[in-house]
Amino acid sequence: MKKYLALGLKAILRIRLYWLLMFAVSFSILMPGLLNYISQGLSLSVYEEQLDTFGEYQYIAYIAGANHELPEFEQQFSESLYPEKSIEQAGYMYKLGLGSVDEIAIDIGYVDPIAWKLSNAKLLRGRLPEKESEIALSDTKLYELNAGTVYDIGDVVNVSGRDFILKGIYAEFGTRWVGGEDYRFYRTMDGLVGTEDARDIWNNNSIKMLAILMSGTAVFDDIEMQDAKNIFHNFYIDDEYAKNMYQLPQFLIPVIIIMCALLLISIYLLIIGERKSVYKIYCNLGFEKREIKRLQFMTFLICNLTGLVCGILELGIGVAVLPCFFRLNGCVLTFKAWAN
Amino acid sequence: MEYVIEVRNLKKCYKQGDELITAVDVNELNIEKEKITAIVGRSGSGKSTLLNLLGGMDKPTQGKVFIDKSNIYQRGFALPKFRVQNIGFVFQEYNLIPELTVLENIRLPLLIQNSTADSDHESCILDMLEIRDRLTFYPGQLSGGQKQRVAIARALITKPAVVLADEPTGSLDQLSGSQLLDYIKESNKQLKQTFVIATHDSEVSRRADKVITLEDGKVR
Repeated sequence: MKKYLALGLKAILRIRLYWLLMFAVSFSILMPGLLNYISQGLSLSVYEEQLDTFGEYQYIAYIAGANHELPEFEQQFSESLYPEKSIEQAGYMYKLGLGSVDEIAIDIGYVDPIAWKLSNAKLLRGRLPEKESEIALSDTKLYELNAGTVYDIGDVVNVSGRDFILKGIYAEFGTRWVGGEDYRFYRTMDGLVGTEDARDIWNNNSIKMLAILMSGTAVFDDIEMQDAKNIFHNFYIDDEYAKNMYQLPQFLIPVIIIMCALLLISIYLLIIGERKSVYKIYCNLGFEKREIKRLQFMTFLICNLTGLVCGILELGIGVAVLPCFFRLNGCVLTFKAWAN
Repeated sequence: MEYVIEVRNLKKCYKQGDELITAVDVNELNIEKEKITAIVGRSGSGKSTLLNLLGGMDKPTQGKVFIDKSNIYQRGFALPKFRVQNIGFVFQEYNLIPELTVLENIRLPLLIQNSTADSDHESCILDMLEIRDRLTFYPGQLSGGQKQRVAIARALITKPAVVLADEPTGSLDQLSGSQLLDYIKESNKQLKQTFVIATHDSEVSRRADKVITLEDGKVR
């Protein structure tokens, strides 16, 4: 056995079949790369199409619905984004809508305690809103507002015709809307309100956004979730393009299988056909026919085992790459957790 | 006089269409031990066929071939194993394995029979054939003469009873061919090795100890 292994390995590694291995390795690297390229291209184009069709806010609501549809994927996605975090409970953050104070536009949002803890947000003065009609403002927005009227902790701020008591001032923090490693959005929230107000604003405002800080559990209540699901459902049914994108892996997997089969056949033909003269020499030197067959089999086996190793690597890369197909659906809206 | 190869009533026939062609027809032939014997003859006279029959690489239509008193075509005789252990081959086209280094090519017959090299013997061959400085080279990096020396080393490594060489100088220029014969002579002298060389090279027949001339498959 040792001699067949030695001779087969030398045949593969040295001259004749060296390029074959190169081909196998290239194939293993190229295919996931190709998958990645195609999926990214499609995801982007679908994403852009959605923006044109529905506008940004609806798109985000759609994604929220999609997240609800694929909680297990979302969980994996979060874990891959934050491997160092082991937070079981979801934190969430609503961007509730656009209001105004003294005719200055202001984004009103809600951040739950977990999301707050995980974020890079820093409370400068006072506290976060806890009760109804309380609000906290960002230092940047407060500076802007203070150009007209001087606001301080305890003052009443009129936001879009509704009075709030200013309870806290926080350093402006950005919410990064993450799609994989690709940061596409950067949002801030000028003012934060408490739970009760947030729910009220969410239900009465047509402009809604949601950010999931750490996902894995439902972040909407039933009505809100249904709202998002409806938007998602309508879009999903109507859009053939999105459907096709989901079908793409089903098309590519047979292609990969066919390519692998062709590779195996090529290896076999090369081992048997291209090296007849070498086997004749072995025969002349005293190898028996059965020994030649063993040698051929061993060479074939080594080639295939190498292919298998490459295939496993390919699978690993593929598993890492394939989520790109779900980027549309799994574009988890989150913001980077800077907290320790 | 001691013989290493003895041939009795050896015949090899081919069928070509309806015609039966006798390539070799030798009643009696004896090859002396530790000598260089040249088998000469025109192209198509049956030299290579006879050599193949002597080496067990082809089956005769009839007849017997004894190597070291063993009838190699006897039914049940383990010819492949015997061939590896007792017969060395040198071919016109060298027949080196391209993906093996010079040293690996030389040791290949030992690998085939799962044995290891006798280091003194190996060392002696490498020095005698002056290939020690080429051991890590691949056949593609060698000249024709060097390749043939490697082929001879490979034939000698198992200490065979006889080395059969089919046109060993056929692919070499005159100078390289002449040098190769020097090496064969030296091997014969130092290792007491029997060589049987099929050739149409007049210099080979001139320097051989004995010359057998074949004409239409028969010894003249």
